Formats: sequence, C-alpha cells, structure tokens
Amino acid sequence: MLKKGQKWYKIEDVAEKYEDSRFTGGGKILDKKERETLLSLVDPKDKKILDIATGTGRFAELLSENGAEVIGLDASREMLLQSEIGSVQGDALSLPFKDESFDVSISMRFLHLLDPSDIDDFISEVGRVTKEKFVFESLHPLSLRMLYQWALPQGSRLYSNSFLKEIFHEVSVVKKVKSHERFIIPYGIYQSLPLDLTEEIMELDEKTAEDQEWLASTIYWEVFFE
Amino acid sequence: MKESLLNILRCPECKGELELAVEKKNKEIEEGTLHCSKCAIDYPIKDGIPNMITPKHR
Repeated sequence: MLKKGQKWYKIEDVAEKYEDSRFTGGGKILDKKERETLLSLVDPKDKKILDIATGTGRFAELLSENGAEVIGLDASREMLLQSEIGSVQGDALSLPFKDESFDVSISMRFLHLLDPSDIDDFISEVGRVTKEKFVFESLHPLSLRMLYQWALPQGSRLYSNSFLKEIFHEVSVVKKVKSHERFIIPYGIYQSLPLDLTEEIMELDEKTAEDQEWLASTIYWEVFFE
Repeated sequence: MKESLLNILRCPECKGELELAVEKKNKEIEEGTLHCSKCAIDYPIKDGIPNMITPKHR
C-alpha cells in the first residue's frame, strides 16, 4: 500500500520541511479551518484516538491538546521522528492493535493515496480497532481540484461520493455514514495565496460549498461502527 | 514508546500478543524488540518508535 506516496514522504528533507512549506501564507488560514472542521466532528476530551497516516502529527497534537490520548500511526519513520505524539510505524491495512483499542480513529489527507480495491479492507480494519466512529476526508473528482492535481509530487486518487458510499455500505461493521462537503478551492491553491486574500475567499468558499456539494473539493466523512 | 502501549499493540499478521525485550529505557522504551512467537517475527523498537511493518513489506 501507499505505493504512490511512500517514497516521496520518506525523503528526509521532505519530512523536515513538510510543515514549513505547507503552512505559510494562505496555508495558515486553511490550517486553522481544517483544525476547526476536525474539532467540529470529533470531541476529543478523554477519548482514545488513533490518527492513521499521522505524518508529522499536526492533527494528533491538536487532539492531544484538547484532552485526547492519541496514538499516531504512519508508514514513514522519517515523518514520525518529527512528531511529538506517541508513534507507531505501521501499515494502515493491517493495524498492529487489538480489537476496539480506540474510541475514535481519524485519517486526514490519506484516502487519496489508497488503491480503490483496498478501501473496503481499510474501513473493515479501522472498524476492528475502533469502537465508535472513523473521521476522514476524501478528495472529490468533480471540482477545481482536477485542474491542478497533476502537479502533486505524491500523486492522488479522486473518489466520488457515490462510489465511496457504496463501498462503505458493503462493509459489515459500518452502521451509518455521514458526509460534509468543504472547500471549493483545493488546498494547494490556498497554500499559494497571500494571507489577506485567503480570508475573504475562504469565507465565500464556505458558504458556497454547503449549498453546492458537487463543487466541493474535499469531503469529510463520519463512518459509525456497529 | 510507553510501556503501557503494549496493552494494545498486537502482531499485524496474526493480531496475537507480543513479547517485549527492552534494550534501552529512559522514561520510555527507547530501544528493544517486540516478538511474535506464533509468526516468528521480531518487530524492532528504535528511537522510541516500534516498527510494526512485517518484514516482507519493509
């Protein structure tokens, strides 16, 4: 797994400069919005949380600061060495944890790195170690994202909502699925905008994404388990 | 890694329990090995991070 992204994320130089390159200028406001979105979907207080593909631990640290006991899992040791959170190097498709070890699992900016044939196994495996729900995001194909995604060094796969919903409903441990549409303008574009411009555009973006879900570039999912 | 992590850590292959051998410990375990006797696999702990990827995928 992680075939496309694995090599890129393992380059030590990429791991060290990862935060700097992504979260300056317009990327700062985007980062704030992403954090707000995650906290609106996960109440971290006193929860045991697994952060799958934690990377350098940006979201793991946020949840930990808000009262959760967090374990971060990633295939890249170089990324984990940058994280402040308890880390485990591992494969998202065969998680090294006992059944129902966590209340909630999250995985941000990861699904687009998985092969389509692995998604059902991935959700089942997360459901095995998770009691309550799995919060993650996917990148939507019918959006502006298509215009720039060829430039991403790590590559990415875009899955439609209906394709994913069909898969999720076939996984036996899934009880209920909710989707939340966000960001008409893809992340990469925000990251290259100057700070003051970003705030205005993002405000407009938020209002539109709620009404026009087909335009959203990012979908946040809540998958509830039996 | 914290020693308490052993309560939830399992072999990714068989999901069985692991035996811990500590080589270096400060507050937390810095270096050591997690062994699955059923699969006969050693998972090394280095710089406090356990590597739970099976040898064939490393």
